[in-house]
Amino acid sequence: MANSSPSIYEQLQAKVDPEIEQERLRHSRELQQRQSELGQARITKLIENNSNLPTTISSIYVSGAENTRRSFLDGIFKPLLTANNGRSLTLAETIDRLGIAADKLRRFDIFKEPIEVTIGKPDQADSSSTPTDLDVYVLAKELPRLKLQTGTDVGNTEGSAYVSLLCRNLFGGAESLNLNGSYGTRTRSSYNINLTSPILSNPDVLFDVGGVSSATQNQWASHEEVLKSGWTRLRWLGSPKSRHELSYDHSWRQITGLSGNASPTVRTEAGDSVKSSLTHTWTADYRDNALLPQSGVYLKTINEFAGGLLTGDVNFWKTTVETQGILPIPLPGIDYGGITLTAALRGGLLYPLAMQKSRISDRFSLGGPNDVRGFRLAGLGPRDGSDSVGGDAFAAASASLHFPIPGVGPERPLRGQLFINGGRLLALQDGQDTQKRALNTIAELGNGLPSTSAGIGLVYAHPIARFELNFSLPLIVRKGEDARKGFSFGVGMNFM
Amino acid sequence: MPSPSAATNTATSSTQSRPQTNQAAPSSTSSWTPKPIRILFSHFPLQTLPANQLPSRTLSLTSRKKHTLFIFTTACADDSSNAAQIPSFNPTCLKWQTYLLMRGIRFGIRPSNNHASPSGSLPFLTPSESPNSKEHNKSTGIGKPIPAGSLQSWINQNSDSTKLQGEDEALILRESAFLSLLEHRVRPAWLHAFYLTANLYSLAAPLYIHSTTTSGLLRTWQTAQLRTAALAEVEKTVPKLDLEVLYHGAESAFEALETALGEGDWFFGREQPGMLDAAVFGYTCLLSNQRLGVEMDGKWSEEETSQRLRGVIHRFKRLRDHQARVSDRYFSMSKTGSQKV
Repeated sequence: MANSSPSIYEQLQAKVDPEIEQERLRHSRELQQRQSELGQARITKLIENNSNLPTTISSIYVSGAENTRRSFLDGIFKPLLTANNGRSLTLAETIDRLGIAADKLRRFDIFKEPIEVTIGKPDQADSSSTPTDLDVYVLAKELPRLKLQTGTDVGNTEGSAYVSLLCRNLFGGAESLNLNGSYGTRTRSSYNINLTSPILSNPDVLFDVGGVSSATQNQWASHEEVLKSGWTRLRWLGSPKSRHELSYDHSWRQITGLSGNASPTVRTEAGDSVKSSLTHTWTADYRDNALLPQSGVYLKTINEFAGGLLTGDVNFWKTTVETQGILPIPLPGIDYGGITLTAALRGGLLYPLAMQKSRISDRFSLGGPNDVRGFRLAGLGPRDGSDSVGGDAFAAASASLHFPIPGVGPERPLRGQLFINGGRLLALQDGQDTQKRALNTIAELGNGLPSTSAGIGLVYAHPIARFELNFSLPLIVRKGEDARKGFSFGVGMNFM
Repeated sequence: MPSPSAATNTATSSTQSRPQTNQAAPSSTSSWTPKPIRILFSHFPLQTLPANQLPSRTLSLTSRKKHTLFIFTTACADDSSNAAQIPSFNPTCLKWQTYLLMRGIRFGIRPSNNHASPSGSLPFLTPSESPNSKEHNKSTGIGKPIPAGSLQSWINQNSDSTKLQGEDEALILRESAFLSLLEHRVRPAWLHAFYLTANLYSLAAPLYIHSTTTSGLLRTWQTAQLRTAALAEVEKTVPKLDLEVLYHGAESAFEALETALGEGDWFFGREQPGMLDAAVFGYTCLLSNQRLGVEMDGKWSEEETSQRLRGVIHRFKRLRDHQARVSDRYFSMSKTGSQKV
């Protein structure tokens, strides 16, 4: 018998068949999952059965949040305690509210995930407790207060390297201080400081003050812009999909470092100016994904008022609208074909106040891989020699058809695209009456075909940015405008 | 020709060919672009429409038809007005402005600042080039800017009036000696009087700074910068800022100039005024007017040190007459522009 079967040692030493091992692992995982699902279901059932059970929260214990102010936490949890004053809540309501509070806590981005919330019965021997009382325990471990980061960024048609230092929860109320230095291809250097604080323990209402000092190379107009700017800003959520921002900016702009062949327009622009402005930005984003949306609509409006009572050297009202709509195109017999039609429309007007002439720092620029493809950066609009000097009014539109690449499938964030886009960027027309000039300029936008290009390309939505490689040809251009023929590459977050 | 940098620095790269442009000239593209692609490219764009109009804050197309001198001035760059005859409030700018007028060159002026200049300081001139000139830039209609350092030779080439002929070496040497006397004796005293006394607030700041920005913060900062720069410059020639040395230097320089002028209308008994006449006028004109700037927004302070250099010039009658002569002949002091820039 001992001879016919292997010894216990041999049995142990024998290599386990990897397939059997995998099978076993899979089995145990399934078992675990089923158990947890069952557990979940049990809890759900339990809560369902007791959902109308009257409950009051007698106390909330928050542990782990050593550096967080008590008054700040009160702002989040006090309402839970006081809500009980009027009538007792049902268990379901209590759990809902706890979930909301925990979610708020999570959104401050100062605690490690997940934030654990447990509910317990207080000691019944305690004479002060009532039968409906519950105790809540919140375990929120704080993230490290300092975070140093270095890395590279790809923004809208620009690459840069950065160093940033983030101080979280600076005064114990989820305030964060961000110091940032970056060195880029276009923005040669930029130093940024920003202090953000939620208002009244609400992660949806943020206040911040900040400043920036930067030097940006604007090759398309043969100059460098040196900027020193300070701002204060209030950001709030109108609804989960709609964001508002109200900011006051005070900036000193210096147009300097002109290249030898700078045009007379740019030479006229050289020097200093101070802008003091109030800006409101509203974004409503109903798209399913910002980088490669498959459905939904997007709307953004920016309104800036500069000068007047705010003082400063420039007086204007500047308004910009951006819209985008994505229509999934159904294919017969397929649930999700991944074919979409995207249409986008943008427009803007710089309306001068106090009879002022607009400056290059304030004017719009148009063209480049992120708006009107098939043109160089700032390739559209008025041109003096080789300089693109910007315009006071613009309109641009684009239509693109996105389709999955055969063999890759619609689930992957890769699409082919066919596009046609175009636009016009104009300087304010001459005249005496500003209103008339603005109206005439707007009318001129629609006069004649826009400068247009069309092409075909690939779109890849990486989690950090969207990449596009296109082959395009210009169809209509204005004399002097900088169209490009052939391949072009675009990186960014915001595409038309 | 557009600079090669104009198109290189975007986060985009391409294998393009741009019609009639710089870096990817058709010749270089054709060497590697397959023929069918070239044929395809040659059909696009399908339509080229007229150029867009330029914004209004620029050198107008009429202004581009004549030479433009970029100087410190509060005169409005109005094409119709005779702005070239309103004197700049900066001695160096005024020198060149005067010299151009003396040499009979027709030009317009443009209020500007050092950021605009290719050399980092004013003045500079953008020549209006005849369309067949080599330097002519087709799309802007003007030639490359000429900084002050190269202005003299440009003027000699472009002046209609015959060059001061038959001048011997000795005279040219004497002129340059007097010019350096101005530079090393008068200029430091001027800088002190203009920037390091109460005149900083009554003259320099209103003329140089207040005309460009309304921001109190920026005005304060730039006024301080102006002062620091002037102080560093003065201390290069007169260490420790010894006022006696400084003003005595200026006085002896003016004395030498007065002697050199003698009884003649112009320096060295010339028929026509020359560079030294323009350079001396650059200072004497500004020192003899109580108020400067088109809107008379700059005013010499009444305080004693602030008036000291003006007191010095007052003692030299021939220089004062010389100043009046240049003013009458080349400038229209009364016909100042009415608009402020």
